[in-house]
Amino acid sequence: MIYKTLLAIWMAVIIVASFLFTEAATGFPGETSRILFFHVPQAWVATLSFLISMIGSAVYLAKRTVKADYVALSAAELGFLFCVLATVTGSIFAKVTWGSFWNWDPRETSIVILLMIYGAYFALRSAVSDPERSRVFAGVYSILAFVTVPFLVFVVPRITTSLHPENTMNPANPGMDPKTLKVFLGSLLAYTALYVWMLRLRIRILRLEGLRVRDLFRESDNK
Amino acid sequence: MKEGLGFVMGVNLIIWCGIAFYLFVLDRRVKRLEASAEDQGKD
Repeated sequence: MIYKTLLAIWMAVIIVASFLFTEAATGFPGETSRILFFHVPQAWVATLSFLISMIGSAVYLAKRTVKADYVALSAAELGFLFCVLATVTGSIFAKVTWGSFWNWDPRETSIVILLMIYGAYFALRSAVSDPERSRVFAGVYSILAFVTVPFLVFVVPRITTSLHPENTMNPANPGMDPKTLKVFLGSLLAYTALYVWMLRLRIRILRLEGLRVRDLFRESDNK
Repeated sequence: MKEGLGFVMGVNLIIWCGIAFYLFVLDRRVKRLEASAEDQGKD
């Protein structure tokens, strides 16, 4: 409970700091560069989540423990959610900076492909009625799907020319303002902690749903 | 502070408060359901 309360306060501090403590980066229209504090952590959490989903799937396939499948499913759902959020915030930035919400930029295109790949993961899960087979298919698919993540997130946007600001706002860039870097790292930490909270919550809900289904089967067997 | 920045910050804070409140409520409900599921398991 203390960790969650601290997170709630920490995120509020990050929001205030991202508007009051930092200066807008030069070379961007108005205050648009402040999107860095929200858009990049969302994209980071989405990538982390897809990695956790892949690990959960691999553990499930190796040990066949339902909890590992809950982790894989929860992580895929949250990864999808944060990927959508990163796409929406990126589109708002694109509208202000490049004049259109969608420009078919390599980064925009690759994130849409990623969303479609993980959309198919949920379709696959719901298409197979047998829960055991559904978990196995989803586990194999999740591992294959993650193979595309580094390629789509890191490789494609870097081997093609992109409108996406890479050098100016990249935290690895030594030119980043120290204040901006502090708030950015704080935001990464806050988003990661929020993600952990949401992931644990979703796993617990799936476990409860699993128990409920098991009880229903028992009741119908007794009748 | 530039014009409009405070408004955007306020909207962000309100959204965050809403999300945090929802997560706290959900967390409590899940905890309660887990406790009742545990009790049922004991019975």
